[in-house]
Amino acid sequence: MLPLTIIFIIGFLLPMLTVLRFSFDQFDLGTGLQIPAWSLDQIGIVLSSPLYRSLVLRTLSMAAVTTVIAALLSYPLAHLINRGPRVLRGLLLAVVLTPMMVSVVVKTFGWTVLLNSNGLLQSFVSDLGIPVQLLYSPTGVVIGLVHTYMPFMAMSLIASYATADPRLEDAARSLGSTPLGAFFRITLPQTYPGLVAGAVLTFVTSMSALVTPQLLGGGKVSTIVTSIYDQAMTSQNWPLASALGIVLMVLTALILSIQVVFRRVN
Amino acid sequence: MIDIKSISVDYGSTRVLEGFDLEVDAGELVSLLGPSGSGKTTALRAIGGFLHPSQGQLIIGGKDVSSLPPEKRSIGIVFQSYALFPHMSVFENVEYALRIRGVGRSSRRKTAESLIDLVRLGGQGEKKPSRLSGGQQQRVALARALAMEPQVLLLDEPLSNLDANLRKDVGEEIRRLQLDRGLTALMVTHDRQEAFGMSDRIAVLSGGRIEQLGSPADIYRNPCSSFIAEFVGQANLIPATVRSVNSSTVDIECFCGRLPIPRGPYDYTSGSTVQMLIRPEALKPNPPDGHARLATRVAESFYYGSTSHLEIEMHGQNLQMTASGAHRIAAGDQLTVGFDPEEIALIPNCDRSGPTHAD
Repeated sequence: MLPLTIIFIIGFLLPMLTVLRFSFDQFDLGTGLQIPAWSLDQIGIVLSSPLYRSLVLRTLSMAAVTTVIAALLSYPLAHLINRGPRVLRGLLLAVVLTPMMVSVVVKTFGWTVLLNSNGLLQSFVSDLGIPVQLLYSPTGVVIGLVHTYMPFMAMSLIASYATADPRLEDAARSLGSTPLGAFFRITLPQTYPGLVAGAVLTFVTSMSALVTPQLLGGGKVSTIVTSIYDQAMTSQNWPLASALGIVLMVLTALILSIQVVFRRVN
Repeated sequence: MIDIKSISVDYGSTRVLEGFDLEVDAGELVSLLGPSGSGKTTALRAIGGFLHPSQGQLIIGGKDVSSLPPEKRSIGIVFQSYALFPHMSVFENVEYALRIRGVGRSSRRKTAESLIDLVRLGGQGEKKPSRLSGGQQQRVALARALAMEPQVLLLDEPLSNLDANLRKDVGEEIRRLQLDRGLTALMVTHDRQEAFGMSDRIAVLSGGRIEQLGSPADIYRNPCSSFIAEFVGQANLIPATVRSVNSSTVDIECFCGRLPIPRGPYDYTSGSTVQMLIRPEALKPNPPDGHARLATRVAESFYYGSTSHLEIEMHGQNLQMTASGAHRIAAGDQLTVGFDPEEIALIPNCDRSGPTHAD
């Protein structure tokens, strides 16, 4: 028992504790040396500088937009899979789950081809007269994030939709609701636990994504995670990277606690 | 009030409901009684608007609703599983139809509260349905359907999810309410007791069509086929030959001799073979003079308190008999039983697809 517990503690917590420790160190920009210390300088830089504040905001808003789009796409999907013709079910499930089986690097290069200035989607959007640049922009990153992380939302909603009894919709219809009314008043509220679970997972994972914003953002769309990567790998500024890492962990913990609170309320 | 005109329903190439015709008068409760697969649930779903008949017409209160969606039909439905909304309180369930219709809050509250009182759930309005017993949930479902003041109430196997000893009470309660409020109702059930106890008329379904329509007593006493005779109760069916047809009786010949049997609603031709229906309770031990008399041996005897169920044997034929529990009859006894020919019915020997009605 005890040795196993120790292995788990070391394996799971030690890397995070290391990051926590590093975030108190100091960094000499002149020499590029990490100076062991117990200071709040690095956290102070992250929290006070407008640069990092907008970085946090951009990260949160891209994760939020990704989550909302994933939810809007997952509802019709969950409806079709649970209520639609039998032949569609297997096909749709396969389509939604494939992204989970494919490496994120492969998927992202696929999107690069579609989104670049000569790509199919970019040409289509430009032909419609919409002045938006897809690749190397937040739009492109969100498209990639939705593709990669929507399966979490979809699986969660498909499962909770399955527990909603279709006869309740019949009952609502007989009492005067239109099909859409029955969905919003009866089916939707029953899927809230699934929606919350799916949203938390989608939000947290897309907030922590590295490859997608790096490749589809092309260095122009920085998030907390791409900054951590840049600080640690390019600038060798481990204390600042660690401070950013702490901010990310605190945000993640806050989001996860939403689900705990929701479960308590219900 | 309800006029169903030759509705047929097909699932792919299978016809599950065939030329379904039925009229239900205002204030009447009619049951669709049949075994599973007889098409009764299909009929209910078609009337509710949840599936589209391939042909036929449905008229409710003089208005053709055939092409209307469920929400425009003004039909209240009590679902077999109750289908209460789990995320809403009893009160919110009951006021649902009124909220959809945009009725104001105070008027909604008044109606919902009086309905909750009506189904004897006063004080339980704030509870979630999952905290109520099966019988209470059923009453919430009824109150919810009544809140919309439907022209017609559909009851889908309303008692099937209840404990056996609760069924009779709840059934009688629904019937009382239906009579008091003058509700027009159509009930679907596979349970003959339920159908008999609650209905003004019963339509017995088999193979997707109505095989017989009549009052519970008509159907019990003069079933038009041996299938119905056996489906609605225990039946002794004995082959007999028609000797002559008179104005009010039919003379038949069977193993117990020649007997005059009331003619009933059907036509017979002399010389034809028919079935004689003797209900178990029509057989009586130690019959008075004037009754047909049979010498039998008791093969089995089961005592149930108020009644005894006997299996009696004669001429190598076994008959079911229900005797008063006051008689002490044991297996192996010799027993003279008899019956009043007036209590016997004849079943025309028709094939199941086309019974011949005299009317």
